[in-house]
Amino acid sequence: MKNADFIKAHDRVKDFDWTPDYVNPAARYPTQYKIPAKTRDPFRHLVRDYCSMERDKDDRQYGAMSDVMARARMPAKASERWTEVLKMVLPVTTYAEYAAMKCTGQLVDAVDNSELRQGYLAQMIDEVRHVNQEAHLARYLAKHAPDPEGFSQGFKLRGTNMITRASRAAFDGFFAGDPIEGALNLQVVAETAYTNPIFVTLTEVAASNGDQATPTTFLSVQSDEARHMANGYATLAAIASVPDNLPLLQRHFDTAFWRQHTFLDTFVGAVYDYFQEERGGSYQEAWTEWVANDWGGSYIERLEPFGVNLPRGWGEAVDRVKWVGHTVMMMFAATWPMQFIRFDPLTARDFEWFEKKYPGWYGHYGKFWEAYATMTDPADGKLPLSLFEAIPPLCRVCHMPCITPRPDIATVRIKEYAGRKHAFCSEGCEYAFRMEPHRYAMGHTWLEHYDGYDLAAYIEECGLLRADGKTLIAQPSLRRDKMWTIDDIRRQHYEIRDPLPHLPSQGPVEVLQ
Amino acid sequence: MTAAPTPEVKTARDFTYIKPSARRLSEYEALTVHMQPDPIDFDRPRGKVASQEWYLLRPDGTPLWRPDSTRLRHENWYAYRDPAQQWQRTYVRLQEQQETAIARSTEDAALDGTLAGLDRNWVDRMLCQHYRAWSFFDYAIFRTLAPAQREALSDTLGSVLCFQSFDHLRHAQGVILYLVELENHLSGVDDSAGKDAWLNADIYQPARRLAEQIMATNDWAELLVGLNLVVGPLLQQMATSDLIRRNALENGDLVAAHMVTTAERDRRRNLAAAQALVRMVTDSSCSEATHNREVIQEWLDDWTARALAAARALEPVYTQPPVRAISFGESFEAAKAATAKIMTDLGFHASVEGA
Repeated sequence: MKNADFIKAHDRVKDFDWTPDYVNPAARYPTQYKIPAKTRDPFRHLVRDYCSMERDKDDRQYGAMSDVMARARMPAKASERWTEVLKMVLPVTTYAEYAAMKCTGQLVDAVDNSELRQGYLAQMIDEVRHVNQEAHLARYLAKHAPDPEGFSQGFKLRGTNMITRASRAAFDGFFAGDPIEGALNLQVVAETAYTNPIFVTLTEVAASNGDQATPTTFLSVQSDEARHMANGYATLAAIASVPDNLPLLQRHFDTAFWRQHTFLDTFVGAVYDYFQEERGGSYQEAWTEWVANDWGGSYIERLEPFGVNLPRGWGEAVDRVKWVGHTVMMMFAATWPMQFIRFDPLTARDFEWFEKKYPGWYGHYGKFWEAYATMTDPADGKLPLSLFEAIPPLCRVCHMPCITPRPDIATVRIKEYAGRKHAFCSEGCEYAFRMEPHRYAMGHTWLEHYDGYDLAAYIEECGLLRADGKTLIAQPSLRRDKMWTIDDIRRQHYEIRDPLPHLPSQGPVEVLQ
Repeated sequence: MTAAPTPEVKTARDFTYIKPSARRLSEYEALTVHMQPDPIDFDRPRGKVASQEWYLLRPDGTPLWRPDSTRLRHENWYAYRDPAQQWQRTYVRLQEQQETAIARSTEDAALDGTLAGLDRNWVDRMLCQHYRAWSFFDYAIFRTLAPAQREALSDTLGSVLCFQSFDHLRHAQGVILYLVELENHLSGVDDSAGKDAWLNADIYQPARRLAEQIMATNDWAELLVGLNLVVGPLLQQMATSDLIRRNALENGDLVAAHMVTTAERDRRRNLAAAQALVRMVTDSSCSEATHNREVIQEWLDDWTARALAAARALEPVYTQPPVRAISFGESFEAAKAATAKIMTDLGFHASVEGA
C-alpha cells in the first residue's frame, strides 16, 4: 500500500465513533477525568500492518528458541544462580502483562476517541502476546533448565508466596481503579520508567550469565513497549491539557509511582544484584540511567509546562533505591525454605562487588551473608531465620516487608483503622491508604494468612516439595549433594509468627478527604 | 535377598498444575490457563483466612473480578477451553495470513483491471454505502468486547473475548482499506456515504439501535452468546455473507467476496467458542445448569427479536446489486433456519422459527 493511501486509511479509522441516539450506556468505568476528544495515536497502526509485524517477531523469537537454542542445550549452560531466580521472576512479569491487558480493555471503553481506542486494542493483543511469551519461557525452562522444579509449578505457587504475592498489590493498580489511574500506573510509570531496566538492562545481565532464552523473549517483548509508552504519553498529554484534571492527575500519578516503586525497585533490585554470577553493572546504576535520568529527568520534565510535576516521594525514592533491594533480599534469603528457588551464597568476589557498587554495604548486610554461607548444610540444622527475632510485618498497601529502606532506618509505621492494625512500610504507602482506606483495609498479608503455622506444615500445604515428596524445591545453596528435606525442616520446629498484633499502634489512620 | 531398587522419581518437565482437556497439555492451555489469578480457589492461600483473596479493591469497594459480571453461574470458569485453542501466536498468524491474502488479491485485482472494471452501482451502493455502513456495526462489537475481556471470570474466556474483539476491528478496517484502494482506480468513490447511511438511512436504524445496545451490554457471557449464536448466523450472515459475498461473486468483485470469506472463518471460530461456553454451563455436571439454561433462553429470545428487526430492515438493500445473487426472502429464510438449528442443537427453543 502506498504511503498516501495508508495515511488516508488511518485518517478514516479515526472516524468510527458516533454519538448514540437509541441507547446511552452508563459508563462501565466511570472516570473523574475530562478526556478531550482530539488526541493522537502516534503510531498509526492498522490491523493489517500490526499482524504482519507481530508475526515476524513471533517467528524470530519462537523459531530461535525451538531450533538452535534447544539443540545447543543453551539453557543448561547458563549460570544456575541466574536461572534459578527466573522461577520467581516469570510468574511476576507475566502477571504484570496480564494486568496490562485488563487495563487496555478499560481504556478502550473509557477514552472516547477512536484513534486511541485502536492503539489500545493493539496494546491489548500485545499484552496477550507478552503473557504467552513469558509463560512460554517458563515452560521452556521447565523443559530445558537443569532443575525444572519451581519452573513447573511457579504459577501455582505465586499466590501463596510472600514475595510474588506482593506483585499483585503493584500490578492490580493497572486496572483496579479509574481507567486513567490505571494508565498512569501502567503506561506512564511501569512501562515508561521501568520496562527499560527490566526488559533491556536485565537481559544484559541474563546474556552475560549465559542465558540467551530470556533476552530472546524479553527483547521481543520490549519491541512492543515503545508503542505502549507512546500510548501513555498520548493519554497523559491529552489529560494534562485540561487544567481541571491536574489536581487529580498529580494525586494519581503520585500514588502510581509509589505503588510501582515499592515493589519493582525492591524486587528487580534484588534479582539484578544478587543473581548475577558474571558481574557487570548494578541495579542502582541501571535505575539512575533509565528511571532517574531518562524518565524523571527528561520525560517528566517535559510535562512540567503542563503542570505535571515529579511524583511525591521522588527524592525519597532516589535515596531508597540504594538500599531496598539489599534489605528485601536479606529477608528473601533468610526465608529460603518458604521460597521456590535455590539460592547461591555470596562469595568473596560478590562481597567485593557489592562494596564497590554500594559503599557501606558490608556494614549493613555483610555479616548476614557471612552467617548465611555457614548455614546451608542440612546436617548442621541451622536456618538463617534464626538470625532474626521475627519476620517484619508486611505492608498493608504494597505487601512488602516493613524494614525498608534499611533495617536501621526503617520507616515502618503501625496504625489502626476499622478495628484492625495495619503496618505501612513507608509514608508513601500510608498516604495511599489514607486517601482510600476502603480499597486496602479488607486485605490480608501473607503473615496474617500463615500466622501460627509450623514451617513444615506451610511447605507441605503450599506444595513446596519436589517430586520425591520430601526434598524442598527451595534450597539455600546450589549443591545437589546437600539438599534439605521436609524432615530437616520439621526438626527446626519453626513457627511462622506475625509480629503485627504485638506491635504498639501509633494511633488511628488519619483519612484524607 | 536384596531390596528392590528404589524406583527413580521422575521430575515433571512441564506445568503440573493444569488439568489438560485432552490426554496431553496443549500449548494453548499451558500458556493461557491460570494466568488470571483466581481469588476464590487456585491462587487463594488456604492459611487461616477463609475469605477471598483481594489486594486492592475497586473505588466502589467491589473486587477486581465480580461473579455478578455475568448472570450465568459456574463453579469453575477456568474449566472453559477455547475449541480453536488459540493463543496469541496462532491467532496473529491466522490473521496475518488472512490479511496478507486479502492484500494480495486486492493487488492482483488492481493490476489485472478488475477493480477499474467494477460496476459503479455495485461500488457506490453496495460497497461505499452498505458495506461501509456495516463497518460501524463491526466497530461497535470491537468496542464492547474489549471491556468484556476485562471482566471475564477466567483467562480462557478473556482470551476468546480479546481475539474476537480484534476480529471485528479487522473487519471494520478492511472495508476502509479496500475503498481507499478503489479510489485509485475509480473516480468519485465516496467513503463518507457509509457513515451517512449508518447515521441517517432508515434501513440501518434498527442495526444501529442493536449496535448501541451491544455497546451498552455489560454481561460478557451475554455478549458471547448473543453475538455468536444470534447476531452472527442471522444478521452478519445476511448483511455480509449474503449481501456482500454472494453478490460480489455475481458482480465480479472477488476481493470483497474474499474479505467476507475471512470474516466467516472468524465467525465459525467464535460460534464454536460460544457453543462451548453454553455446553459448559448447561452440562448436567454444572449445579447451576437449570438457572443458566433459563438465562440463556431469555438472552436468545431477546437478541433474536432485536436481530430480526435489524435483518428485516435490510430488505431494500437486496434490490441494490446490479446483478442479484439472492433475494431477501431466500436469504432471510436460510439465515433464520441456520440460526434456529444452532439454538435447537444446544437444546434451546428457537423463537426465530416462524418469525
